[in-house]
Amino acid sequence: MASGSARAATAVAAAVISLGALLLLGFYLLHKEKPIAGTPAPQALFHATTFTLHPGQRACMSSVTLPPNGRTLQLLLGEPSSGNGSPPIEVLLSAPGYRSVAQLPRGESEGPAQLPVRPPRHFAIGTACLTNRGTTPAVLVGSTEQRSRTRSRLTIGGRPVAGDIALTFADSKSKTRLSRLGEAFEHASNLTDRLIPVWLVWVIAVFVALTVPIATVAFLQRALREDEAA
Amino acid sequence: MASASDTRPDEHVRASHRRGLRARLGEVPKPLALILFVAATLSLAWDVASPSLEGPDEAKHFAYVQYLAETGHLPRVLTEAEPEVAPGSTEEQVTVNSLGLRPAITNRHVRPAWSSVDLNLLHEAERSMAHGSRTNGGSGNPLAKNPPLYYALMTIPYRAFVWLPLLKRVFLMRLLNVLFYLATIVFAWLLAGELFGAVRWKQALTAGVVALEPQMAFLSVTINPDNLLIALTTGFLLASVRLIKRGPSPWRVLAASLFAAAASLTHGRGLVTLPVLAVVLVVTWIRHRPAARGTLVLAAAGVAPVGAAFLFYALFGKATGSGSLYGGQVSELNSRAAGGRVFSVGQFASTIWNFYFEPIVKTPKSIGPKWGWRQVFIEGFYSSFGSGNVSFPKSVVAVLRALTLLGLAALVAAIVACWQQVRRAWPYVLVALSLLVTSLVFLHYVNYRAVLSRGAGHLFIGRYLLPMIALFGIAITFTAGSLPRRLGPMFGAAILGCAVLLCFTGLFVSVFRFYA
Repeated sequence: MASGSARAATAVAAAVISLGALLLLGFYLLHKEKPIAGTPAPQALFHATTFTLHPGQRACMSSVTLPPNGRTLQLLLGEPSSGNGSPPIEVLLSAPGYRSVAQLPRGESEGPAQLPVRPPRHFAIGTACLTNRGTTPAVLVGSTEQRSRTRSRLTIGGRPVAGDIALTFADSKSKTRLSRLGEAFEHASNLTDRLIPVWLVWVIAVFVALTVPIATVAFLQRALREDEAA
Repeated sequence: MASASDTRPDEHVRASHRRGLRARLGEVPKPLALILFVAATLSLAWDVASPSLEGPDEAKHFAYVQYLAETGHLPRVLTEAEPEVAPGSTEEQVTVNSLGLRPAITNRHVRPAWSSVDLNLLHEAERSMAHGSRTNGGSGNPLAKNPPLYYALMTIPYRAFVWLPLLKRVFLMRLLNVLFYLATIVFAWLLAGELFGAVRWKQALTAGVVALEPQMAFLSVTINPDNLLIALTTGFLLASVRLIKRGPSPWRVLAASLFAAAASLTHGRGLVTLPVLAVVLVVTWIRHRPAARGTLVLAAAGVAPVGAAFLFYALFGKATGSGSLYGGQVSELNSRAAGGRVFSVGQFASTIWNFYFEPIVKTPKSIGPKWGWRQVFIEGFYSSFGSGNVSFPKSVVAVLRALTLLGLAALVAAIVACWQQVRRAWPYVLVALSLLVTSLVFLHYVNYRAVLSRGAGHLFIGRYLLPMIALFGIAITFTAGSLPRRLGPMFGAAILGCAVLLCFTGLFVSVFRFYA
């Protein structure tokens, strides 16, 4: 049976871990936010580049990942050439067996602009095309930075152009981090090239969550007992 | 077929080896075994929670290992301006591009391409790669200035798993890296044993703090020479304390010197162990006063490994087509001018002053970005995950800052309360202080030079304090040990409990930063 010193230390460690775990759950894991569903082409980190679409002109990006929870598409608009804001921009997302058209209305001001899109049922690799449906040039922000380079290829008016127009997909529904743990583990498994299958990610997570606190309390208790026995 | 009499002696030897190994493993103190178990478990979790090549400069470190393993040569040191894109073989570039790993490293709003269709796209690209796609990554690597010891060691797991696709190979290479983390913990345990006697809870607290420092666990699964440097510096501290405590013998001097030499062959920052080694040798001499002949033998044992290490580095570099040691950085650091600007002692001192005391009194002479102890000693030390830009939530960092300042005040109080004990331990205090001061001055100096030559940037980051992690553990244990008998272990238990929570928070932060 553990003596007073070992018992007290064990109780302190267990109390700190339990209380902290509750705080972690309450303030972090149950926090709701609209998650990023994918960033096929990120914003520039340091130096933004603008791409101009003349009236009727179309920009297309190939090899874009279209996520099934990407219900909102975010574009970044540059300073409009007219005082009436940005012209309307039509967005066409397509992949084998999937096609979705959405329109960003006229008059949006400089900065992030969001428009709802219908996502595919499953992840798909496809194309995102943006067409200027207005009468004034549309200015879209993106990047030509090497560090922000993606695998997509951009064409404007059918001609290849260096860089990417920034595109981000987000979920339209707020979700807690805890509820997204399953999809996070699936993505983690994919990025190990499935060396660690999803079920094993779960096993590791549960194993770590249980054994690390228990073993920590145990090593301290064991050390104190050894001291008392010595 | 071998007869029974032929096989029996072999079986006997094998059985006795098995018994020997089992007996040796059985001798490992149970608390230490549990700490190592905790550390290994956390490492496994971090390997999953942090995507491959997303650690600090991991893509560049991997490129170094790959080029060395594939060609037997050191990569060319990049002397021109560092490119935005990490160097690497076609194989590495294809993986990084296909999964969008590069933009995800530095931009916290970016997620890697994480779906199964992205993975299929990568597999297609891998299948179409030309012969030689693994060997063509030597065209210039800014990290080629690092000495080769760590990279040479990492070529072993690289070659062992070369048949696997890159992502799987990196995952397994990272796991073998964990051995350095476990070695650091064992050294910290033994160091506490030397300093505090065989008081198990103090050993457990020291080693536990080292194991549960959140960034240590994260770093243990990134391909980065810091892991080996941390282990070697901790081993060096242990060997130094043993040398001073037990008296000089050629083997003890050799042990300390070998650790210092190996640290210098691992990273330029390992050079700080050399002046500390000199301090250790002088302190040992003062304490034990060996005869003149003995002194010469000990001096030779102290200097020979370091000299041999530099000779090896120079010869190896020459044989593999590499130029000067440390990519010429050491001579660069000793030159007066950098980037057209001249080194000024006053400006250097001002920069250091502002690093610590800017909120109180700011001196006008300092240059460079606003960069102080909060970024390095708090945020950077506890929580610089990913490529250094993934951190705890601000509220957690604020609590950590308050607790660290409180801990520092408690340490000062403990030193005052136990002054006689501290005085008696002056040789160990001197060694610890010499490592601390040498490291900090070196890091400030390198940072100042970088600001001079580049005009911006900061090369003093929290991770660079980790080679002194054992001192951090010792300081906490000393403070706990100065408390009344029953309170010490409870204080230690609270620290360890907080550390477990920080480790979990770090894991969650990384998972939601990169995977959701």
